[in-house]
Amino acid sequence: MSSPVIWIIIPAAMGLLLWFLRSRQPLSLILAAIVCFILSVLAAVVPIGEVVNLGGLSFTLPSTLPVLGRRFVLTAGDQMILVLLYGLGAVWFALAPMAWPHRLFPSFGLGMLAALTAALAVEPFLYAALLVETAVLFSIPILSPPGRQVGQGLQRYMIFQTLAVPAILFAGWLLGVAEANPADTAMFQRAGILLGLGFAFWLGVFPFYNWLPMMMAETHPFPAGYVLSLLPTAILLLGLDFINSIGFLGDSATLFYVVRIIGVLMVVTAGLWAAFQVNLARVFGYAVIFETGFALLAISLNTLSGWMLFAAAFLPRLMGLLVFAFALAVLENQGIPLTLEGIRGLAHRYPLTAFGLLAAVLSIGGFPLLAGLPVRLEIFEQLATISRTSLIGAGLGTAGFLFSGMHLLSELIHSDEQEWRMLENWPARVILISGCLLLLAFGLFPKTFFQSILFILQAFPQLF
Amino acid sequence: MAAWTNFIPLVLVIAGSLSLLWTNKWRYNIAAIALQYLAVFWFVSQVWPIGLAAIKLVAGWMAGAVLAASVTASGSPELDPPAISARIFRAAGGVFVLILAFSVAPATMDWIPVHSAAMISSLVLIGMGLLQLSMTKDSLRVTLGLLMTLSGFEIIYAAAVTSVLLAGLLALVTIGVSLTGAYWLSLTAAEDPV
Repeated sequence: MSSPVIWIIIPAAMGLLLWFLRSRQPLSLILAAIVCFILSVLAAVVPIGEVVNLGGLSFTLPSTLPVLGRRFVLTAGDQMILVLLYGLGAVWFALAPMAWPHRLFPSFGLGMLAALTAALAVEPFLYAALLVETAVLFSIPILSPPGRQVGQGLQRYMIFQTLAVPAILFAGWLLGVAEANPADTAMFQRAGILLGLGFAFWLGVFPFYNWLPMMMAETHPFPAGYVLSLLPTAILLLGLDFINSIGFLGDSATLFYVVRIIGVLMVVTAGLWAAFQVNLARVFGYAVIFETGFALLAISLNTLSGWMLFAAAFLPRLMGLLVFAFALAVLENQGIPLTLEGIRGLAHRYPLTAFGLLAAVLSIGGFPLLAGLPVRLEIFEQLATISRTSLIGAGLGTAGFLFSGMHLLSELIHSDEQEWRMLENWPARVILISGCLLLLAFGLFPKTFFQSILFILQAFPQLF
Repeated sequence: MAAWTNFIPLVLVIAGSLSLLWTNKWRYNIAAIALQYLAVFWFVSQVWPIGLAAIKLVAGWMAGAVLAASVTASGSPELDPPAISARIFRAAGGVFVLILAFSVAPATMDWIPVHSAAMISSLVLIGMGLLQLSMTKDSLRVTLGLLMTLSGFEIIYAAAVTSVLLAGLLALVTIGVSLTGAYWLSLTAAEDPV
């Protein structure tokens, strides 16, 4: 038994098992949540590669699993990443019975988690492209379940994610060629361009992101929220792994300059488009772009504090998207149109959902006292020292996103109704209140929450 | 193998990809993709052991079979034949891709070690696949476009890397893409018994 068996093979096998239990939705969702929770706790407490004494039993958990001449490696440095990924899965599966109890979600959702963990573990890294593509293929039945027609956004998602495969595979091969002949700088450039293109397709980087809001408008917000929380998180970590293991990437000032420009463009365009968007599902899509833009800005700093900001941003990002997606799912399940017109006066009927929506949008926008602000503020400070233009761009995008939050607020409370009701069911009330309180707690006591997530950086020792 | 024989699969690739652009009839489209995978196998078998190269052919034909079975099972109506103006536009786009492939191939051969027919075929498949993807909303044609693009990439990548695991994973992706297409074709507007 090795660590890849526990965190890749077992969840994949559980996904397969849950496929056979798909007719029992609540049971399979609960099982998926329990499996993810156990794997997350195991990642937090069992040291990989060290001797573990359990009563009279003493054993060592090896970190490597060889497969057909290649290796899957999950070391002690990767443990916080495993905690994050499987913790994310546990929360989404646990909330699914209230938001989207679909029979395909547990099996394919677990399959996605296993494939993305395998992508992070595989050596040589170029195989990660094919494993990420496998995760994307697993996500399709979740995003377009039976009964829902496939739209153009979903097709484009599939197209862009698939186009990333050749780009990353070629980049991997070119890097091998370039390392054999370090004097050939052109090969490094070509590899860098292809690698950048591959990640641009994967992350929905400017200008390849139009599928994001389109797909959100076509699918149920909860599964889309799951996919758009998990996939960019894993791909950003994969990107960090590439920078960590490919020496010339970390030394390339041009790379970080380009990443900064792209990050600013993503923040500006997502913020401005969100400001004028009337469809809330599309606003969610822009929120994902906006968050990815800020993650790229943190990467572009290429300093220890930049990497720490990158890691710290995961919790507020994932929490904000979770609350946003859950609130949208509550509305979708009630048949309320996810438009500004559809939610007019919603605060009088669904006050907690309205509050959750607002808290999530404002937190993502970086509103004071909410989870998103501490990291945003620090990124602004760091940007101010290296590029005022980037700072102005990021500020403009943030203002746009906050404007969309204010617009949302005005529509939510705009009503002629005098009576206040609370139409959410009890589980939804508890979840929404907890989510809002957590967003507030993250904002008020950032250090308490951020310190543990910084251990993610242990997996990337070459960065600093 | 004589150099001129490599132009047989090149002709297959060009004919197949142009026919995919020209007609909407799914039978012809599936036949074209099957021919293209034969060409891919031809090129890959020159650099890989024949047993390993056969994976490409088997995976490609399986992908075609899955799509064909799905089209018939879903009872999807045949798409209307494209208007003559649309056909001329598509053909013009296809010819443009051909010109581009023939002119770019010599430069790319400097850094990827394949012969000219394989390189041109690969670029034609990638270009035609991207052209197809940019011009359609139909799930079958999107899937065929993706398969074309991937198969074009596989020709040149096979010359660069030989690996059993990679061959297996690429075959898995090929079949996965076709299964996704088949799944999309099978989706109906009927309510799902959640």
